Amino acid sequence: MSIPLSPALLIAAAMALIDDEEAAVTPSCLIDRFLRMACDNGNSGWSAAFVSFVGYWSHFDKRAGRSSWPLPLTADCDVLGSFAAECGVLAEHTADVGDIYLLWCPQRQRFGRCGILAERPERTTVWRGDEAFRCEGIDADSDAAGSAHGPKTLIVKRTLVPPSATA
Amino acid sequence: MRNAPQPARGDTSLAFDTTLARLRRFLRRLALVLARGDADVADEMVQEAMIRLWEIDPARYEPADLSFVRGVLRNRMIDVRRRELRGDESEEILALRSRRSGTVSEEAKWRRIPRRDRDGRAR
Repeated sequence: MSIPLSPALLIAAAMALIDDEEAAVTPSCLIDRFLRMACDNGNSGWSAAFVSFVGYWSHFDKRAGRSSWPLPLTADCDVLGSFAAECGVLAEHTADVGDIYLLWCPQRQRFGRCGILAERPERTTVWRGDEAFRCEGIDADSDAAGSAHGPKTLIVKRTLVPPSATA
Repeated sequence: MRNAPQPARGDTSLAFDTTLARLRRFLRRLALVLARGDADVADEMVQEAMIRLWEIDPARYEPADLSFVRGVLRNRMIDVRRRELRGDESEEILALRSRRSGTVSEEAKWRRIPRRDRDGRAR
């Protein structure tokens, strides 16, 4: 029997890989392991590779020798986005703990990074009244400012705004 | 005893502050040009650009995308200025109508902002 999908397992596994306060950066050997897990090279850093790594191993059944993680093992956020769109699970107006969020980059017209929602997002509105979610994500390939790319794996507070409001 | 280890944390509001610090001079300069030196109008445009910057979440952009972000903010400021000028035009029409009837409304007088050069001198 495969392991049922569980946000708790996913978050626990991701938390185990977060840098502690004193760590300067995520060790490169760990980043290499994340990237090796991906079946492609990707061109959007290693946030998607981290999600793939954590998702795969948190749902790995050692007796069956396979994982029940349903998402593609990829280092490319756009692959995750396309897969979610094909499966009809790409949601703009709902978010919950354990969901994978994807950040759209209008400049490149692609998803630029992703992460795992570590807490139930708080629904809010941005200045013009657009709906948004204030949340804490477990982010790899980022830094203390939650930048698109960075050397750390950490918990980042961010406001997720639907792409329509950011274009 | 050693304190319990804590996870590294971040907040994208830092990205907003950093990007704003990098763009503030550009925004101010552009706003003054668009506002023809009117500091109040320029302030309003900078405020609008800051709102836009917050809306687009600068954390999602890479440093190399700064010129794109700059373009987005420039467009917002131009939109604001156009709106402002459209407001002025309608006031001008009001003023003309008032002149025809022999009066110019106080509001219409106040709305006519003198054009200024880049040093802020009235033209």
